[in-house]
Parts: sequence; C-alpha cells; structure tokens
Amino acid sequence: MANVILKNLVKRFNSVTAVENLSLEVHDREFAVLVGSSGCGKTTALRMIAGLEPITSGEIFIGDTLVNDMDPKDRDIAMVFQNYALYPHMNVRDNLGFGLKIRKFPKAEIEARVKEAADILGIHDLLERKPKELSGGQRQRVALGRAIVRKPKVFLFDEPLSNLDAKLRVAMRAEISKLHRRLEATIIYVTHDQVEAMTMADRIFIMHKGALQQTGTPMEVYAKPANLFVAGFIGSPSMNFVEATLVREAGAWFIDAGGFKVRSPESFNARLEPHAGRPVIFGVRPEDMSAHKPAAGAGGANTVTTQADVVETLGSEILVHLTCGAHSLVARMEAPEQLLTEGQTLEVDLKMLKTHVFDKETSQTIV
Amino acid sequence: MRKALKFAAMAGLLCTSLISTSASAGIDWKQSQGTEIRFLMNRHPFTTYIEPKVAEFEKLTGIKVVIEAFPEDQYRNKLTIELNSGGRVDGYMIMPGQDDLYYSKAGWLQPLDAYIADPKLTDASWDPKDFFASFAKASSVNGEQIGVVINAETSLLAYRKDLFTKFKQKVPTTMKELEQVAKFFYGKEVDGKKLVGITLRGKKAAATSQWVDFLYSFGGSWTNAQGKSNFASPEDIAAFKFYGDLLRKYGPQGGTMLHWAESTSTFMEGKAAMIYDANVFKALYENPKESKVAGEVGYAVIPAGPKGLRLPHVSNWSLSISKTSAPERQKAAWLFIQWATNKENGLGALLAGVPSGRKSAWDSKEYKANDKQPDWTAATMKSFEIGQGQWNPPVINVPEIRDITGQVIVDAIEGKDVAASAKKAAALMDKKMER
Amino acid sequence: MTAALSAISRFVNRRQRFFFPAPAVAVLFLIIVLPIAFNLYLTFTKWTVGLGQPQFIGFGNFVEAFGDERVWNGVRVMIYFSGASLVLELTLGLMIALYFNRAFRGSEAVQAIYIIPFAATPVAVALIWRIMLNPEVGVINYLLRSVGLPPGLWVSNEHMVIPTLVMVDVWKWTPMITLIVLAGLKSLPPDPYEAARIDGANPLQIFWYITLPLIRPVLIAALMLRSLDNLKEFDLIYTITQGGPGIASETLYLYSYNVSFGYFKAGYGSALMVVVFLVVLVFNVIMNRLRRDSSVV
Repeated sequence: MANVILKNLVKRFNSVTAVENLSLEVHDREFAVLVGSSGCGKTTALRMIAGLEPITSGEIFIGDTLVNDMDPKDRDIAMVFQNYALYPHMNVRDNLGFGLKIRKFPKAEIEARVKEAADILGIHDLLERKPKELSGGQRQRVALGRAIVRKPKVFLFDEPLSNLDAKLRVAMRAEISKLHRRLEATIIYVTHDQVEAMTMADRIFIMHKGALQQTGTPMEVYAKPANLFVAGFIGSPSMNFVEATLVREAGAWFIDAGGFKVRSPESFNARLEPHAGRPVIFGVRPEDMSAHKPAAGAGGANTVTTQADVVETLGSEILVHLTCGAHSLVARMEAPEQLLTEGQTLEVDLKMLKTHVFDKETSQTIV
Repeated sequence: MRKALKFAAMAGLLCTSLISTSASAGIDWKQSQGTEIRFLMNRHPFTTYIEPKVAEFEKLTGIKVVIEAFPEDQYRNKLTIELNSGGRVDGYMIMPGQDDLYYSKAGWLQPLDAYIADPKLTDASWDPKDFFASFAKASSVNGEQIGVVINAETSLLAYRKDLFTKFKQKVPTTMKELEQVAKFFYGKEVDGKKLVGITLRGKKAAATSQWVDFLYSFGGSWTNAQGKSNFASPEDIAAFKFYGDLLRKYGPQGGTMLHWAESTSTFMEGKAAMIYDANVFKALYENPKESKVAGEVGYAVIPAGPKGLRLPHVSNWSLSISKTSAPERQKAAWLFIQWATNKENGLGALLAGVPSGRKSAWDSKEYKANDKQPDWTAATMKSFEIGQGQWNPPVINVPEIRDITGQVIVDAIEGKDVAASAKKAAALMDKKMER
Repeated sequence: MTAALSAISRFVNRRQRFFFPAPAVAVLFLIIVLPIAFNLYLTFTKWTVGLGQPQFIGFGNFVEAFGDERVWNGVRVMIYFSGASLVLELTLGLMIALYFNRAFRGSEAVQAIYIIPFAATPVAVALIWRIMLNPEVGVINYLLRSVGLPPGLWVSNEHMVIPTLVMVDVWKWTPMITLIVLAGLKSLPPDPYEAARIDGANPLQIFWYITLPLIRPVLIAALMLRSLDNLKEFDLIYTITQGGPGIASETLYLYSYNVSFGYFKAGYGSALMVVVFLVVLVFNVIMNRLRRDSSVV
C-alpha cells in the first residue's frame, strides 16, 4: 500500500505563501500529475513530499505513515529531477548503483538491478560513461534508471521532460507511461505542460496560486472544468472566453456577448436561471467551433458571423483566428478543401452543448 | 710658508710622533676641491652622528660627499653587490673582523698606510697613536691598515650588583667562579621571579662572537700551527663544552635560539643574575624605560680561563677606501675619513653614544664629567687594551665557518657529545675553509 | 623629410607583428630570460661573488650537494615542514570552508575576522610570533603557565621547532585555502546533493561521496597554489628561527639562500636553487595531472 495523502499542507517562505492548505490523496499505483503554471506551488508540494523542503504546517502520509519529520532517505521514495541531478563525477553505472551502495545492498544485487534498469531503459552501452559525455535524452534515462533501481513505493517526477526537445519529449512521455505500467508503483509527476498531464495521468491535480483547483481524470477536467482557470489551462489552444450577459427571450436563454447572441441549450436552463441578467463569461473550445463560408438562408441560433484574421495551418487541421465585433476567437477544425483567405467573412457554428458558462465574479463554473 | 710645509713633511717622514705634537700649520684641506665622493654606510649611530656634520667638511674642503646608508641586514648585501659590479663606491663602512679577508682577497680594500704617512695628506693633529692599538690591529690585513675605527666594541660580563650584595657573592674572576656563581643564582627566587644564573647568546653563528672570548681564554684557537681547524683540540673542546654547559645548566630555557635581543631582554627583565655580551648594551641595561635593572648593573672583564688567560675580543666598524675608486677620489675619501675620525669627532661621537676608538675621547673631561658608570668605562678600557682583534675565523668565507662553529655550540648547549661534534666540525671546516 | 617619415611608417606598418611586441619582448628577455640563463650557467660554475670569475666545473656543484649533509637535512626539513603544513592546511581549510558554507547568523563577520592572518604581512606576523614564542618572555608560555599548563620550548627546541613553525604556517595560510575552497563549494550544483539525500546518503556519506569528489579539483588547485609558496617558505622560517636551532628548521631553500647571500657562493647557491625549483616543478606537474584527471565539468 503506498498511497500519498496530504492534509492541509501549508508552505510559507517568509511572507510568501507557496502552498495554501493543500489536501489531496494519491492512490496506490496511481499516476498522478500535479499541473499548473510556474509558481503555482506544485514543485514545492512535491519537494515537501520528498522531504527536501520542510513544511510549515499540515501532514503528509506515505502508505499510512506520517512522514512529516522523516528524512528523505527514510521515506522510500525516488525522485527524478528537472536537471537530472546526476553525480557528475560518477559514471552511469555508479550513478545508478549509488543509492543501493549507500543502503548497503550486496554487490551482486546492485549489479543485477543496474543491469535490469539498463535493459529497461536501453542504456546498456552507456554504463561506463560520465554524465558529461551523454546527450540530454540519455541523461534523462539515467536519471530515470537511478530511480528505478531503488524500487521505491513512490516515484516523484519534477518536470523531468522540460529540458528535452519536443520530439524527444513525446517519445519519453510514452516511455514513462509504459514504465508506470511495468513498475506498478505510485507516481507523482509535476509538470507545467498540460499536454503531458493529459496524456500521462490517471488523475490530474490542477494547482493555481498555491491552491488545488480541481482533481479528476484527464477527460473529467477537460469536459467539466471546475472554474475559469482550469477551463483556460487545460486544452490547447485554450478555450475562448467572451464576456456576456444572460438574457431570456421567448422562453429560451440567450447568451448576449454584444457582438453576437447565441441560444443556450435547454438542458442548461435550470442552472442558468439564478444568474439571469448577471455578467457571465461564455467559454467555447476552439475544437467545438466550425467555420464555413456564409451560406444563403442559413444562420441558426448558434451561428456567429465573423471575419478571419489569421489562418494557421497545422497540416490536417487549421487554426483560424477570428474577429467578431470586440471579441477575438480561435477555431480549430479540419482543413477545408478550399483554402480560407485572411479577411474573409466566415460563419461559425458553435456546438452549444459543449460550451461553458462561468460566473464572472467567482470564476466558478455555472454550466 | 711652502718651505715650512716641506720641512714639516720631511720631518714627519722621519718621526711622526714629533709631528703630532708640534705641527700646527695643518695640511691643505682644499687640495681636492670640486671632487665628489660617494660613501656607502651602515645605518649605524655613527652615521646618524656624522651625517649632519658633513656640511662642515664640504665647506672646509670643497669636496662633495654623498652618503647612502642602509639598515645593517641589507647593507652588507648592497655593498658586496655594488663593489662586485664595479659600482662607483669611493668609501664605505666595514666590519673588519667579519669581512676584511674577503674584501681584501676580492680587491676592494685600499691600504691606508701611505696616506697616513704622507704629511701632505694627513694632518699632524690626527695623531694615529691616540687610537687603541688593538683596534688599529683589528683594522689591518697582513700588516697593512685598511680602515680607521669609528665604533669600538668589546664584550663584558655584566652582573646585578644588588643581587650580588644581597646574596654576598663575589664578582667572578675565573671561569670556575663564574660557573659557581651562575649555579648559585640559578633557580633563586627574587621578587617572585625565578632567576637564571647567566644568559648568553646560543643561536648558532651569532653565538660565536661571544663564545670566541671563552675560546681564547681557555687557550684555544680557530686554527692550529698547520693552518688546520683546531676545533678538535682539548682547549677548543673545553671552551665549547664550558659555554654550552653554562647556558644549558644555568641559563634560560631555549638557549639555542638566544640572539643578543633575547639574551639582553632576559637580563633587562631582571631574570638573570649575569650576562656576557657586547659592552655597548650598557645603553640598554641602563635605560630605565626599557630595563628593570637600570642602575643595578656592574661590569667586569671576562673571567680568566684555567691557565689564567683573559682574552676578550674587540670588534669595530671602520671606514675604508675602495680600491676600485680613482686615485683623485681616493685622496678625497681619505680626507673625509681623516676628518670623520679626528679627535673632535671621536669625542663628539662618544658623547653621542658611539664608543670611540680614541683614547683621548674616553680620557676627556667632557666624557668623565657625565660618566654614570665608571666601572663600565674602566672595564671597557681594560678590555680594549687586552682585546683580540681576530674575533672571527681567520678565513675568507667567514659566515660559512661561523655556521659550522655555531653548530658545535648548539650541540654543546643541547648537551650532545661535544667532542664528536667538534671533530666533525673540524673536518668540515678543513674542507670548506678558504684562505 | 615627410617622405622619409612615411617610408618609416610604411616599413613599420608592414611588420607590425614584429614591432609592436618588440618592447615587451625585450623587457621580458632582460628581466626573465637573461637572469634564468645566467643562473643556469652559474649552476655549473664555482664562484664566490667578488673572488675572481666564475670557473666552469661541470656537475661539480651537484656532486657536492649530494655529499652535503646540510642539503639532506634541508630536504628532510622541507618534506617534514611542507608535508605537515600542507596536509593540515588543506584539511582544516576544507573543514572550515564547509562550516562557513552553511550560512549562519554573523557568519560574514566571523569570516572577515578569520581571514586576517592571511591578509597580514608575513614578516610582521612572523616577528610577532617570534616574540610570542619566546620561552622566557613570550606571551604563549605566560598564558600556559597562568592556566596551570607546562610551558613549552617551541622553536627553541630542535624537536619542537618544525611542529611550531607548522602551527604558525597553518594559522597564517589556512584562511587562504578556506577562501578558495569556499568559492569552490559555492559553485557546486545543488541538485546532486538533493539526489543523494533521496538516494539515502547521510551527511557524512554526502561529504565523502559527493562533496569531496566534486571539490577535488579545487582542493588540488588550492594545494598547488599553496605549495608554490610553501615548498620555498622563507619569510616565516627566516624571521622566526633563521633555520635554527642549529639547522633543525633549515629547509633546502633557506640553505640555498644562506649559501648564496650569506656565503656569497653564487655557483653552489644557484645549483641548490635549481634543485628546489625542480622539486617544486615535479610536485606541480604531478598535482596538475591529478587535477586534470579529477576534473568533472
């Protein structure tokens, strides 16, 4: 059993609060990703779990043991650092074996484990090299290997891929996921990259300004963001936000953004009712919009007339930056057969069922 | 006038002593007018005394004198290097007991006898007989005088009159008594301080300068009749042993590191009943600001050795003329030396605290009137009379042989096998000695 | 006239690489190359300054050195003094640097006081030590006696003199090592330390397995820097003991000085200086190789 529980965890550096009242539970063998923009407190939280950072208040349990006052070495954890943190004076073999040597493992056992880790990570040929003779990706593998050989209950990853180039990052993502399945260990993974979080996590913990915003599977946080921050943070490109008011016309709720007015689905009604006439923020993801040339006679209740500013081609998809009155929107869609030109007038259909409405004052989700 | 001079000069050649009393016409001091001479000097009290007076000499002679003075440590190096590189040095200060053979062999010393004998160059009033004979001898190499003494020193036994009276001890006159008295006082507690019997220099080469008085008084010598080292002789060994034992048994701790500064400060602290060192340190002992024993010190000549010998050494600084200088400038340099060592300056220097090599200065009313330690003066005069000019090994490489000698003294102080050490040193000295 | 000048300037212009460095090269030649060459030449001669000209005697000086008891004594003293002081300075310097590396309240003030011995003039502090170490009137024995401890002979005893000089040297120079090592410690990456803590290393193990190997190049550099001075330590020994008692603290360098400037035996003295130089050179070549092998970045 190696779940990790944080209870009311607080960390203050002098007057600055880095982590505010953080409570969460990571289940045994779960791949948990702590995600948030830089300075949100996620790394500090991870370092407190590791024991590298003293905690101001609160409690940390690893596998039911209160570890608040335990040394890192006694917490049965391994950590992979952003800068790899390899021992520069040792070759790869010694880097991998160091933790075992310190824990007085027999030589044969160390050798076996190092070989096993090297096999898993495909770094057999590098064992005699020093870190300075390795590429970034190779160093990252060694850093992983150093964690693996220890066979700890909990792995802590501190933005391990952020120093790698884009292509390598994609490959390593897959590899770490595979590794997780193979090791059957609890992993707490910190990143600022929501793509990493979405692709790797069993559950995502989204943090902002030291506080936990939302917990859930990738699909949950994507589909049902708890608040404006989560909605904006998860998904790429980000969700479009437009300030609007709720108006009731002819028995239906309309979202009036000034430049356009769309009708909200009936299923939303019950929740929209209390916010009638109040300022809200209307959110729609780029992938829930499709733009097309104005068709005669069309123009439904959820169609908006816009002007194309910039068209970015990604290959099979395009991103279209649109202007609608005072609002800027981005739409993401399959590349049409006929190229869109900039400056062209376009009609945009919104998948209203997938749109969101947030309370402007509290930033909380209404629908 | 000119005839009279000529006559005086001829008479002087026949009988210098006659001249010294009768001639008053004097030499032509302007004969080297316009010459410029350069003297290298040790920054010594004599230098301090004479520097402000140089203007008088320049006025008298029209000779321009440039004096460059350096602290003693640097002075010897500076002088050696300048003389060796043929720098323009016309005259300099020398410690003949240390450097005369070396400088003479190197060809840096101009003999002075011809100048002294020439009545055109040497004023009758300069009176060479007025100098103590021991110093004239000390400033000579192979019978030729190469310098004129400006600072005359010897070594004396200084003792605490108050303690000797209090404990009814007699001033030692023999080495045996010296040891007994030292033993008597060693460990005595006076004013809460534990006394030592005697303090001496023990620091290797530096110790040889005082040890040599014991060597001579024990009947020993540096070299034997064959010119070989005499260290292995019974007399030399006895001197080494006596000196080392005295310091080890009855002297301060750490005897092998005692230079004169350490030794004198022990005495001045009131921690020693006796000290054997240079007579000029009287100025330290009697300075109430620095010394706790001022006014309580008596002075005596070195005690006699087993065969009754009392042979202290005399040492001196002299002024010499550089052999490498041009004759015209050498003549001017001689005029300067002559003037700087005349009776008036001899007395002036003595009154300024620089012990003169001139008897007349010590006998003068001016000196006697202010002499607060007549027993010191008496002992000094006695020592000057019986003093030995050769206080260093009679070799060219004096420092090297002094080091070899000093090692035996150190071994003796440390209580090692003196005979073996002396034998080894004798062999080494024979090997290294340059004459 | 102008034609001549411009001809000259053209001439110089085309040969800038000869003309511009020429003054520096000439000065260098005069003050470095010539003296060294002359010194090497003297090595093969017998010459007492003032007494005649240098006489060529081949390797005679080295043969003499080989049979000279004081040379061997000098080598022994040099090894004893330098070995003990370098090891102590390095060890203490490292330990104190580790201590200072952990910032504590008032550490800057303590550090500032701590480096005073290093900043002080060697001869001045040596003189003060000489007085303090005097067995009769020195303050050290006074203090020892006042707290009921037996006084020591310090430099006045042939067996105590080197340990005492080592003590003074350590007092004087450990701060320098500390400063160098401290700079090295401050430049170490923090990550491997955290990795080691998580890997399970205790502070002692972290020091042994992480800090020490990482700081090794800096330590060796400090050792090299210090050994350059230490192997030919002069001010301190000369001022405090002049090599005494007897020759108990006369290093080879001190002896070569005595031969050269006390006895004015320039030929033999030069040969001894060359020997000292070779010792320093060999030591530093070895150290430099060690440093290169242990460099990790």
